[in-house]
Amino acid sequence: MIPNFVAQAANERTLLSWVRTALTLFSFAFILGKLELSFLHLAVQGGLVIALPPVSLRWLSFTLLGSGVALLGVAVWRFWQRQQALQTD
Amino acid sequence: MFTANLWRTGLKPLQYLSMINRYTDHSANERTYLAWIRTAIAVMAFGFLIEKFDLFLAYLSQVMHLQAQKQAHVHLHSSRLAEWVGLGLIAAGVVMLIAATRHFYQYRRMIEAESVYRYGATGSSLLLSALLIMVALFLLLYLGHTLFSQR
Repeated sequence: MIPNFVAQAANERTLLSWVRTALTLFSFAFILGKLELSFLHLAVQGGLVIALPPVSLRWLSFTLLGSGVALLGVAVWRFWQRQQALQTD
Repeated sequence: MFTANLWRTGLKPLQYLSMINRYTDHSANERTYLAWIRTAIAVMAFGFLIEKFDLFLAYLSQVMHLQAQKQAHVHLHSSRLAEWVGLGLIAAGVVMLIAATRHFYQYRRMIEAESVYRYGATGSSLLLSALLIMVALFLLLYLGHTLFSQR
């Protein structure tokens, strides 16, 4: 048997949920960054002025990436803390 | 209907569940395994996105160049490095699936055993988090480089 298994496993699943959330943020940020590139391309070389993004997508993209990293850092720290607390010996 | 039948036999649902030894532990183990599978799929999808999203941009780049050959060149294509990172993430997803399956069976045996074991799969979760943080930092540099080298 493993003492506190249910709580330990729940703790691990919580970290995994945070990991998936961060992954979603990263994907979104990546798409935004790449879309800005194609928008610029359409605007500059295609002459399609309307394609110019009204807000800076690149900063939005960087912010999303950065917050994903921060989120993961906090999630790992909390996971570690709880894991130590649940360890019976 | 299931519960009603249990009540008729005078057996409460909780008692029924306790007939399977350490049932809550086993189901927690299974839920954790499924969570790992979902995460591995997400990692592989992310890798695929990084690796293949540039196909669309490369196509766009080609079409646009035909129409505006004289204009300044805008780099849309990715570096080889990004493709390798994407491939690496897909490989990491496969490794995660294998490791999670191994852990699942290991835990099942430990739960069933009478001797006391210590919970200890923290290595793989911490490794995964560290890997993703590194990938995110890479994307930050990579997107920053491609975006700020424009014009």
